[in-house]
Amino acid sequence: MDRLSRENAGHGAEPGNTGGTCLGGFKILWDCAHFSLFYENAQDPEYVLDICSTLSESQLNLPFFTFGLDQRGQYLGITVESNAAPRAQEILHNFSAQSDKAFLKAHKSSILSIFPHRNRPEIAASLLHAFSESKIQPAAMANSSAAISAVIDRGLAPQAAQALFGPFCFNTYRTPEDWKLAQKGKEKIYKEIIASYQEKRPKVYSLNWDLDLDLFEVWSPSDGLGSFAELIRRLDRAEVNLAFLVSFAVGVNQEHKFFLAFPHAKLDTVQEDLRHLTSCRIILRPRTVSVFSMNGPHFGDRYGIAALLFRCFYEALIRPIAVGCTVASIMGLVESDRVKAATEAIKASFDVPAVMEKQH
Amino acid sequence: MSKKYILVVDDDPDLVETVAMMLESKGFEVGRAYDGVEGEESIKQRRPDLIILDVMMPRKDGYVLCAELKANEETRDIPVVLLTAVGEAVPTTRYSHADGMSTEADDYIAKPIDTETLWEIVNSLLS
Repeated sequence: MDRLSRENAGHGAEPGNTGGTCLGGFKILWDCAHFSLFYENAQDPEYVLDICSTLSESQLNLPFFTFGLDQRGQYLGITVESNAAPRAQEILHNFSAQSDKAFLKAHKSSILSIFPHRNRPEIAASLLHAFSESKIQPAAMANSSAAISAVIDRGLAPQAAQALFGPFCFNTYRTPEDWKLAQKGKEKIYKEIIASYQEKRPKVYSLNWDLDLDLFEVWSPSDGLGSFAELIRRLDRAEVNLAFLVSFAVGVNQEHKFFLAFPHAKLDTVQEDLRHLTSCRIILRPRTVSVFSMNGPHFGDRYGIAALLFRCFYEALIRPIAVGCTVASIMGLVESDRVKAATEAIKASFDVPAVMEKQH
Repeated sequence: MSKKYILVVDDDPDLVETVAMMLESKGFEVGRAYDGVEGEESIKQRRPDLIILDVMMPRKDGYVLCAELKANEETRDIPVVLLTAVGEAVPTTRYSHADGMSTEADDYIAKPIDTETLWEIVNSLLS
């Protein structure tokens, strides 16, 4: 049992720490630009593929990317480092200008990632609560296999880092100042190293499936993150795993749209808890979904991964319901009856040495 | 018989989780650390039977930590396997496979980790 287990992930476990749930660490990618694009057309699978392909052709790496599909349309959250922002802006503006059903919003941003989450709703809840207390509205969120990332306003990133030292403690950073010192001297990943991977067929460590989950779509008002966090925290107490999370800030009021997946075996518990969330609109998708995740060397640093994924799914006539890329992973949701086809599609484009399945 | 305890140290949390899952599926107990300093702290708290150590990390890289462990009488017997994403020689970095082989580490794996190679190395060093 390590120090992050449910039993001891608690409060003030480390002398000198501020208290809270003990995590391994957090990272901030400071100078980024985030683009939120909503396309009010759910029927066009080529739209996201064309966008990702165009970004890839321009060799734009996406350190953060989210996609969601519902009956209203398609949601995209695309983050690039600031030096790539002008080109990304041009591409995305061109796409949005082609249709009066596309709505684009851009702003300077940072990506904050905390880890590891161990699929515990408590971690997401504490992060959302910290944001709510600090009046920080995440433009988008996504989990990877180990981390939860949030895209936040660039100007609020130092405040966000500070806000983590309360709900969380970090073994080797006792204070925000310790953390700042720890960031110094981090060696830049050399472009040559990335380039040595870029032209190769992406190899992943394994393709991991989390099978038979229920997908909830939740719309939370921008001032409702605190209540939402409290509800998610209750799921942790019931030992419900949070298998998938992506979110988008949508519309003039920047309402938060969440795609959340929990094990089907815990459906009754989740439904009972979500019933209390009166400030939010909630939809349970009628069919179960499954989550895939992959990561590989420099997955987070090389361009074209999202484009390759959407291409292989498009050719196999598979429509992912939601996708999140952050840190060094890509995760996505498909309907459970498409797992076999999705596995074959992924294996046709990625070098996959092993497929692992987890059933709840 | 108690499970063998392996510590995985890498600043890519997803990679740590991936390797940990692989090892746990084979019955090992796995500790996780996300940079060299945290790895060092973790080793002080609990002596691992084997360490899988990334070379490119903030604060303290894998070479430095490996050298410190091998210079210390109490830890020099712990097998260390270095990990790097620089499988081929990249002239601008010292983190290539060849550089790793010149350290005192017990073995060296280039990313992406080949599962069979990982088992072979882990089993050989723990036997």
